Amino acid sequence: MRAVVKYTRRGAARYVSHLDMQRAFGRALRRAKLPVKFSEGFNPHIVMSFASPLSVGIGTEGDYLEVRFEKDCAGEEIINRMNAVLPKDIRILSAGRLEEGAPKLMAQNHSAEYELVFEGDMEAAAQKFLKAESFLTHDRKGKEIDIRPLVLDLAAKKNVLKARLENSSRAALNPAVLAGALGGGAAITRTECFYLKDGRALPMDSLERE
Amino acid sequence: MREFATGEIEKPARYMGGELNCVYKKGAPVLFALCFPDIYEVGMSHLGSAILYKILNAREDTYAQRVYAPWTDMGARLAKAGAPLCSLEEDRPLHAFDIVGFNLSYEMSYTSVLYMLDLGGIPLLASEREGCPIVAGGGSCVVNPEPVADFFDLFVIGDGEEAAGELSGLMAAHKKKGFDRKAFLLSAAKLDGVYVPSLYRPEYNADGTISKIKALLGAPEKIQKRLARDLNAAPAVTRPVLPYIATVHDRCVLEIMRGCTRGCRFCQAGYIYRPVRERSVGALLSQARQVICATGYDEISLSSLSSGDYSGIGELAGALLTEYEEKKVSVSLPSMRVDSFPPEVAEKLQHVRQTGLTFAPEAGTQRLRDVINKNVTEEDIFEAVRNAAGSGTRTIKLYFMIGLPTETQEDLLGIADLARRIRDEAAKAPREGRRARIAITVSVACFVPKPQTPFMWEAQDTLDVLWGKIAFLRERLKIRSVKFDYHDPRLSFLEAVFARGDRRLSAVLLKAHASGCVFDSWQDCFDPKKYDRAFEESGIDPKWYANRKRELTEIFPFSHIDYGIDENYLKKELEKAYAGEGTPDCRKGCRACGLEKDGLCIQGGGR
Repeated sequence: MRAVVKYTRRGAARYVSHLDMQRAFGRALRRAKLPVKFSEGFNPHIVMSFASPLSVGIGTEGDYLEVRFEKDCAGEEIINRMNAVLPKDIRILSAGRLEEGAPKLMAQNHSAEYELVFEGDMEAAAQKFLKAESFLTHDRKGKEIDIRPLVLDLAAKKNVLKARLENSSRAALNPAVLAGALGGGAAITRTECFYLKDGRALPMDSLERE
Repeated sequence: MREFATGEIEKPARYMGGELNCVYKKGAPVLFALCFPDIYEVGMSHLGSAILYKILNAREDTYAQRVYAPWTDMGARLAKAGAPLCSLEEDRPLHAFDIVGFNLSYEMSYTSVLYMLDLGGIPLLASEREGCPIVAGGGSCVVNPEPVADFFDLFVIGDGEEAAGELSGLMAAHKKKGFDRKAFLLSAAKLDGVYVPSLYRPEYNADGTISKIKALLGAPEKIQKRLARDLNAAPAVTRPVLPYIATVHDRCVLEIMRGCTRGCRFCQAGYIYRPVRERSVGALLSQARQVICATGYDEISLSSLSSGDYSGIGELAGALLTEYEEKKVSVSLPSMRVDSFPPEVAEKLQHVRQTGLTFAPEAGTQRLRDVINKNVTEEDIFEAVRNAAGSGTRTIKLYFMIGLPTETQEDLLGIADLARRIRDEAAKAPREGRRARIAITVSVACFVPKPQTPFMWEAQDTLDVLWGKIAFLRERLKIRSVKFDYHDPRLSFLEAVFARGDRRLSAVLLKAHASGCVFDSWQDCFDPKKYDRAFEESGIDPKWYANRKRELTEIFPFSHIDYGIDENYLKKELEKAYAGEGTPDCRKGCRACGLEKDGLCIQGGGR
C-alpha cells in the first residue's frame, strides 16, 4: 500500500537538513514497527520519499511524505504509532492511502504556502510588490531572477507575511529569497503544500483515500 | 541563542537539543554538566559519556545534561553576544551547574576544555573558583592529569560508573547542609579513585625533574584507579539519545569487553584498562534489542580493544546475524580469520559485505614487532588479506607506527616491502565483480611514549627525525594502488609533551588558549606556531618533555596515580623489548603485572 503522511516540524527539528530528515523518518518508521517495504539490493532501505525538501531553518505545519507498506495500514494506526515514537518536535497530522497509479508526490508539487515573520511592518512592502509587474532580485546562487511571477498569493498583516509560492518542477521560489527581497531576515514556516487538480490548487492531504 | 538565520552558522542542529531519548526532569538538587571538549558529532559518539548520562539521570538527586564545544562560528557568536555556553537539555549556562565534568580522552583537547570553561563563564584556574561549579575530569588522559591539574578541582581515576554517582550523592549531601567548597573537596578526596590535585604538591630537583609529590591535609599518598569488576552488573546504554544529524558513530554500539590481554608495549589502553572484563552474550543481545527498539538504528557494531579476542565472538556474531537479517539491520564484525568462527557463522559471514579491511601490523619487520610485542606474524596478515580479498573487499587500510624504540632504516623499508607484498597478495584474489584493484592505504602514526606502559621512559624521536622518516617512506611508498598518509608529527610531538608532562605546563596551555588555540586535533584549526610561542613565553622547552629519555629511577609527575600496574613489571617488559623477547597473551597464563596482587585481576591472576 502507498500512504501519504502529513507532518509538522517545529523547534529543534527546524534545523534538520533534508538528508537528516529522511534518516529521522526512516528510523521512526522502524521504531513504530510499521510493515514498511524495503528496497532490493545489498543496502536495503525503506521505500519512502518526501514531497518537497525543506531548507535548514524552516519549520513546517504541513509537509508530506509517501511511504510504501507491505500490507494495508489504517491512517489512524500510522498516526498513532508514529507519534508515539517521534521526537517531540516532529508530529504526524494525518495519514491515508495514496492511489496506486498516482504520480509520486514530488512530481505533483504545484505551490507551497509560507508564513514569514519579520521584525518590522510589511504591509507597505507587500502592496508595492503586488502592484509591480516584475520584481528583480538575486537567488541564493547570486543569479538575477524575476520573482514576481513566482509569487501566487501574498498578504501582509503588520509584520507577518502570508505567501503562496510556485513550487513545481518547472519553477520554485525559496521563501528565504522572497524574504531577502522584501525586507531581510524572517522566521519562516511552511504552512501547506499544494497539488493541482482540475486547475485548482488543493492541499496534498486531499490526495488521501480511505 | 537558539534562533539562527539561514546560513548564519554551520549545522545549527548541533546546538538545539530536543533529540529523541533526551532526558527531561524537574526538581533534582544536583545539576551535573557532562561536557565533551569537541563538537557535537564527536561528543555524541562517545560511549563513556552516554553511560554516565544514563547512570546519573537514573538517580533521583541528579539531572545530567550534555554540553559540547561549539564550533568556532558558534563560539564567536556567543562571545560577541556575551551569552554563555549552555546545556542542550535546559539551555542552562555552564556556570549554573553544581558539577561540570569533562571527558579527557585526548591531550590535544585540553585547549578546548579551556575554551568551554571560558565561554561557560567559569574561571579557568581551580584556585579562583569560589562560588563556581566543581570542575571534574575523567577518561584515559587522567593517567597523567598533571598538565591540566590547575584547571580541575578533581579527577576520577579509572572507570567512572560508580564514582560519578558517588560524587553526585556527595554533592547532594553537601548542598543540603550548606555548600562549602573546601569541605566538599576534602570529603571528595576520601572517595576511592578521586584525585583532588590541590591536595598534592610536587617538588622539583635542580635539573627540573620531580623530587617528590607531597600529599597534604591527610590526602592519600596514592590514588588507586576505580574498577568496574563485573561489566554485566554495570549499567549499559539501552536508550541512547538519538541525534538528528549524522555523528561519527551513528549506530548501535555494543561494548563487548573492556581491557585487552595482548600486552602490546606501546599501547596505553592495553595497560590502563586491565584486567579484561567481558559482557555476556545474553546481556549483549538483550542490550541490542533495547537499543534497536529505542532508536530504529539499522546498524550494530561491536566495540572493544580487540573484538576478535572476545571469548563469545562466534556465538554473539551468529546470534546477531540471525536475529537481524530479517529486520534489515546490518552487523559489523571485527576483521578476523573466518576459521575462528563456527562453520554456520562462517557461512553467514560470506554474505556480509566487507567494505574494507583494517589491519594494524604497527611495525614493518618481525624483529620490531617482537620488540613492541605485537604478536602478529606475516602469515596472519596475508591470511586476513586473502580472506578479505576473496569476500569482495575493495580497500585495505594498514596502520604502522614510526619512531618506535630500536627502529632502524630496515624497519622502515619493511613497511614499504610489506605494503607491496600485501598488494600482490590481494591482486591474486579472483576479480569477479570487482572493477578495480584493491586500494591499499598505508597510514603512519608517530610513536608517542605514554604513562603506564613499558616505553614510558623512552624518548620520542625529534621532529626533524620524524619528518625525515616520513619523507623517506613517502619515496619508498610510491607504489601503484598504494596510498600513503601520516599523522601530523607536530601533533604527536605535543601529545608526547602533555602525556608525560607536569603541572608547569598549565602556564603553556593558558597562553595557547589565550592566543586562540582550540580544536587542535582539527587540521584546519591546529596552529603549531601558537604553541611554539606559548612555550617560548613560558620559558619551557617542550623537547625536554618529549625527546628526553628518562632514568629508570626518575619520579614521574603521575607517580601518585596508581593503575595497579607494578612499575618493576614495566621495567622488566622494557628490558624484554630491547632483547626482542615476547610476552604471551595473559589469557594463557598470568604474567604478574601487578593487578593480580589485590585481587583486582579476574583473569585468573596468581595461577
